[in-house]
Amino acid sequence: MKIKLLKWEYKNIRSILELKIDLTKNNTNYPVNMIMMPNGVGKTTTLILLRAILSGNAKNWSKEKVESFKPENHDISNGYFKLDLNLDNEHYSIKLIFDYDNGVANYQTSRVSAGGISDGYNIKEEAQRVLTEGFIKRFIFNGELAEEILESKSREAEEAIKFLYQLDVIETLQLKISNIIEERQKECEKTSTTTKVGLTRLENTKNGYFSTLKNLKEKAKKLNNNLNTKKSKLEKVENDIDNRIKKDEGLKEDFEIIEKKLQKNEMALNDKLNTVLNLIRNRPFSFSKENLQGLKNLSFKMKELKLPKTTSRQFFNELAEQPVCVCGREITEDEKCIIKEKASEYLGDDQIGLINAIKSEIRNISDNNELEMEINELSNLTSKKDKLTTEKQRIKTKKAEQGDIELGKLQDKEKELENEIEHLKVELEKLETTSQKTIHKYGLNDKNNIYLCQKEYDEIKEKYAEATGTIDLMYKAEKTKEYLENVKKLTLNKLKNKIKKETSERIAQIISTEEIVIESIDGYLKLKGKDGASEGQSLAIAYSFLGSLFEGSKHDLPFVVDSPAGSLDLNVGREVAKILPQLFKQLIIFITSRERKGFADEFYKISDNNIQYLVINKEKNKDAEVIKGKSIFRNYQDITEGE
Amino acid sequence: MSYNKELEESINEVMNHSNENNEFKRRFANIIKNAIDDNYINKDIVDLINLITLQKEE
Repeated sequence: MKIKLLKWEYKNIRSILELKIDLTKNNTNYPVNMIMMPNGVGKTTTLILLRAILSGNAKNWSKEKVESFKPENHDISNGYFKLDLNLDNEHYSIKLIFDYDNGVANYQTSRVSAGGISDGYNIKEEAQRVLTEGFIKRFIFNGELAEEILESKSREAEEAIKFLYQLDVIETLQLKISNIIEERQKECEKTSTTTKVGLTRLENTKNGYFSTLKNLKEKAKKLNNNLNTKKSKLEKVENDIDNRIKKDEGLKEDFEIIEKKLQKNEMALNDKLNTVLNLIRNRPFSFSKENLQGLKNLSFKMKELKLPKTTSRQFFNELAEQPVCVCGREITEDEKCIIKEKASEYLGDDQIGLINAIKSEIRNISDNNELEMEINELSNLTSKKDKLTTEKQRIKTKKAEQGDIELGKLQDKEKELENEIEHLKVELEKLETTSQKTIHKYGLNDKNNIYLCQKEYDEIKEKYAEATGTIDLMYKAEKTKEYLENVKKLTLNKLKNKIKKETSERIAQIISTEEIVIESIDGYLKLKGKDGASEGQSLAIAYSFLGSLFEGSKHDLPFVVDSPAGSLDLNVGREVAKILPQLFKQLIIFITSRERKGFADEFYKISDNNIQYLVINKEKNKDAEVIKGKSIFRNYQDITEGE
Repeated sequence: MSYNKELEESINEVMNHSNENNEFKRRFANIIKNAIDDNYINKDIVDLINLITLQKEE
């Protein structure tokens, strides 16, 4: 980020009613600006307002704070402070407007790319993210920071490094990853399994169902095999019985006649069944008289209501394209829109065609009761089969009653097999049925029915897949964050070592009377062999530290400082004055006449093109004025003392 | 905007010590570079995460 301050303006701000400060000449910034402002004129106020303009935080000021900027002994309702600056090569003019009557401060921003003046603090978003109060105080500097940098409980030194060297970006990235994972987990509503324990539990449940399903299918297979075996055995026993009876000459003829009849009946039954099924397939409505009557009623109603209406959607869409209606009236654009909208309420041509086909089909349905006749015949054949079977059984019984023990045994065996087969069928039905009615009848569940077990298994498999995906993503995200954390720590250590070394070298340049070395940069600057430093030393250390920070940073920022030499002795002041212009491309220094000696001397050596000297003069009952010039700056208030 | 020398060195060091594939390493560096330019694309971040190979617990 690159910031260059261009000029600012006061209107009705404390002791300044109207004043303009220009930091440029011919649209070019002076690299160094020395501004002499006597006590009480507004150095501190200016720094507060510059910070407020850059941070946009004045809108949160209390009523009392806003009112504190009101000029005393003046009945003034409002005032403003306006700053012009270049932010990443874009010109901004930001005005902080004070409404003293209501105790409110508001912003107005002028920005060419945004199309002019707008209410509010409207600098570009990327800059807003960086220009926090904490960040700004590092380059709009009033000396408080010097204490913080050395205060053992402070994290200011480390935070300054992180910010200026973009390590805060890594923290933002880590946060983004966490947010993405959190969103993904919320999306997985089907499962709440976001822990490894939960996942294991889910996996066990899945495996349990798999095992149960496998066992049930095995059981069904065994039952089927058993059933087939029993059926084969039954068939054999039945054959044995039949053969035994046929050996009896007295019963043989009747028995064979019945058998033939049964065979013939069986064939007729099969044919009739096929006929009935075909009829149902082709004319399903014939199956129920109620359905048939319902269709006929539908056809009647459609005819009564003249449905479908012959006017179709296509007709209205085409009409809407015409300039004139069928009645000859002109159709306006609004009317065309309404026609097109309403056209959707009509049927399309294809739908009309379908409905007409249905009407025709219903009309052609005859009342013939062919299906009913066929079903009756099927019923007759079934009755006949029952009768023949009973007749056959009667012959067998007669034979058994004659004392045929062997036959008796065979019949017992037959009965037993029939019972077993029946039992097997029921068991198989319970296992294999998918019918809700049968499931309910036997009270089946996922432990004893294949269909229900399969359903549960499929569901749990899906949940598991989902959970596995989420858990894996979480682990991967944590690992990525870990890599980022390692990068951040490693970079921070490297930067700390570099800045520690450079700061120590700068301090050595400034303070020659004592060895002051930075031992480490924890959250704060830890001095080697010292618990603290004097006020002057703290300032020198702070300048050295900030200088090292800004020099290597990608940000190009001005350095605005109030009373830089405040508590520095003359020698230290001179050393600080030497290095400051080397560290910052735009330097704005507020100074009093007392601080001038020693400190300002070094600045007089700077070429006139690169430095401007401003004196803000204020006399009693007069407004402040700007006086430019090196000479007045050098002698200001000296002349006054000499009078 | 590119990142500073120390950051670039650290990224290389961390990636060289990792077991991740080259594609992950390349994307990891790019994601950080994009983040410095205030350019966060969620899809890129998710794609990066998915490139991680998890070690299966024995």
